Amino acid sequence: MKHPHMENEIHVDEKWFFVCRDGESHMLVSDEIPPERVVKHKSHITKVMFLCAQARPRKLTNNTWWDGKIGIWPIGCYRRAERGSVNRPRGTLLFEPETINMDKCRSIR
Amino acid sequence: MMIGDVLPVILNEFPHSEHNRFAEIITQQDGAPTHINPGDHEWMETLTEMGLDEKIRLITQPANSPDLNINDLGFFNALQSMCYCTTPSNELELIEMVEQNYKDYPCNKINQIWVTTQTAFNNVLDNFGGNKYKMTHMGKEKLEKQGRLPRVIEVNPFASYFLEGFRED
Repeated sequence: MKHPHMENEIHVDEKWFFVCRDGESHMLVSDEIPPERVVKHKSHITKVMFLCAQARPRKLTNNTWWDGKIGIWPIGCYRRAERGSVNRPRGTLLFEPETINMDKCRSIR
Repeated sequence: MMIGDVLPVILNEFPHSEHNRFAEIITQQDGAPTHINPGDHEWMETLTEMGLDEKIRLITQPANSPDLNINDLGFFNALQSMCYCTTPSNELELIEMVEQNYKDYPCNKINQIWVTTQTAFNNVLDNFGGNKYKMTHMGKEKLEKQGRLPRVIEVNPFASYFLEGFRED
């Protein structure tokens, strides 16, 4: 008795992706410039939630492999910076990460 | 997300030759309260409008079993550690990195995660439905090199004895 081949299944899930970890260490050669950490505090690490859908990779009838990748979507909205600063001019494209709720999960964009 | 993004992309990305091979395509998600119910009104309405209500079905995976979703089982951790190797500085760069890593992720590794899901099935069956088990190692990398990686694996003999009993009933 065998398990099902699971080729008609698509798995969907969300995950937060982080820019860096807390307490990372690096080994450097003597004249190497250490990498700069972009976040100011470990409790404010930049993160974005993604929704990902995956199917099983398989060989198609025309002998090519399909990798089973359906897609990965960031959750949040793009907007333009309203004011400028020393770091970025006005109107720079920004992304605002959001959490997910049922309406957003269902929504039609 | 589900109606606006995922559904049209499933129809688009899922190979057309594969559409008719199966009676239905099962979309599996975890039981998070933010997820839509399998019988969600708007979701079902959209499917009926497209004439796909028999074709695409939404199901919720067993509770407290992240190992039964390939994303949680191995795929997300792999993507996240690939992202740690790069140094994005803001949200836009992070999105770019994640999408790039997603695109570059090798096909055979994804297939290996799917095989691992089946060993997770075996472990769950051995554990009488529990989730306190240690993952069985099967040396997939080595098997793949020898070209012996199975597409589907055997159900544990002990569990299959019971399952066959159910079938007869």
